Amino acid sequence: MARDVNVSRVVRRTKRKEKVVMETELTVLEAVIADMQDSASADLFTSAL
Amino acid sequence: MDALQRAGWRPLPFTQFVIKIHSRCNLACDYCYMYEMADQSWSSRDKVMDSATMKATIDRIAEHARVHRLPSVNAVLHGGEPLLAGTSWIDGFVADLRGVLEPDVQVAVSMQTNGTLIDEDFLRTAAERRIGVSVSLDGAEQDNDQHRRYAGGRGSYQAVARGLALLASGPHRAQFRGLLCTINVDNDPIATYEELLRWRPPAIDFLLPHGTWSSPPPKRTTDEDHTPYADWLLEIFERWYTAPSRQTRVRLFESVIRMALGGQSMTEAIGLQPARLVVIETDGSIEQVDSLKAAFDGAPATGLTVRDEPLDRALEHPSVAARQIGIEALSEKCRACSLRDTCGGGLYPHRYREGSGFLNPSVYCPDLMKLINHIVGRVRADV
Repeated sequence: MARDVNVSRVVRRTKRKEKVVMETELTVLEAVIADMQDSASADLFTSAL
Repeated sequence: MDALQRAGWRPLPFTQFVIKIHSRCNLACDYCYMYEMADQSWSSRDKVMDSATMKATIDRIAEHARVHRLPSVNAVLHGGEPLLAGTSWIDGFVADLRGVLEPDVQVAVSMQTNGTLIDEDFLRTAAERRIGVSVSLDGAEQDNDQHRRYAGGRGSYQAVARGLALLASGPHRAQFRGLLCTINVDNDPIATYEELLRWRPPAIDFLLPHGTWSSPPPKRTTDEDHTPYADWLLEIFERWYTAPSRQTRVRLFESVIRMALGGQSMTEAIGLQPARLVVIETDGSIEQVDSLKAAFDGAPATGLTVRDEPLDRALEHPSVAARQIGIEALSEKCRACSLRDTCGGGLYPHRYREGSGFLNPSVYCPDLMKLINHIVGRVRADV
């Protein structure tokens, strides 16, 4: 079943400059889109090989 | 290499430095690429990096960053089990590393540990030195302890759980980066995921067990309709993706989603983005990606050391280039595949076959195709 991405919620959340890392209220897809606008978020994964 | 350079190709500098600070481990996991697979170079290495090698390592990283004007680098403390080096050694190393590189080059430091030796003393140092900590855990006790055991056969779960409790629930939780879980398709996927989730990890990375066409992973047969790893992962994907909110990050899944949305992968396991990682062993040897140890004895070796050569010399190594040139390093089958750019041929070591080397699809090809097709289909339906 398709789930709409709430773009306004993603933008609002990203603008707040919060670390959208965990315990977010965003769905997976919304959170990934928000992360893609925050280049620093990729650093979280650099420790795992 | 000459032909590549004549065609105008230039290697990208390394930005991630995996530093083997201790070459031994207090566990004897039966699937470990370090000790249980083709490459046995660990047995002749120094146990712990000595001070001269430590200094040479730091100087070479600083040199590389300066030459290539890198604004930041990632240093990953690795092993063996890195905590066997001791908290004071780690404290001194990170202080020296940052002392030489910063403020010109920002240094993100993280550690991959089996978790059994995490204690308050180390976590205080990790917080003071800003060291991110990732822990290897395969699920619930009975599942984890199938493979992750001490040499005498005793399971490691209880010790890991003690360390994880300090890390995940204590005052130093900010240092917790995530959990690394090697897939065991005999374990229940949802139970595994929910057990990992119990620790509230910021991220989970599911790793395909290392294997090659010459030494296939468990349950990976030649039947292309048989996809045990995709089936296992997709159960977790659906549980993760359909949750009301994101409970944790899953690197493999998020990488596929990012690529489906026009972004880049965050893992060398999929995608065509250039690999910019180099390994420095306890004796100063400069090596390629660690998981190559699964392919054949000596596979990661470059013949270079930080004492004698700059890290730029490793950029000239053919296998380092192969992990940076994208499509050019793929087999004919992969080049013609509709999933080429998202899959990228899978993890480089998983393509190995005796006789033809790495010019093959991944031994996990059927699983990767099913996994990627499903995730991309789900995302496209939702955006």
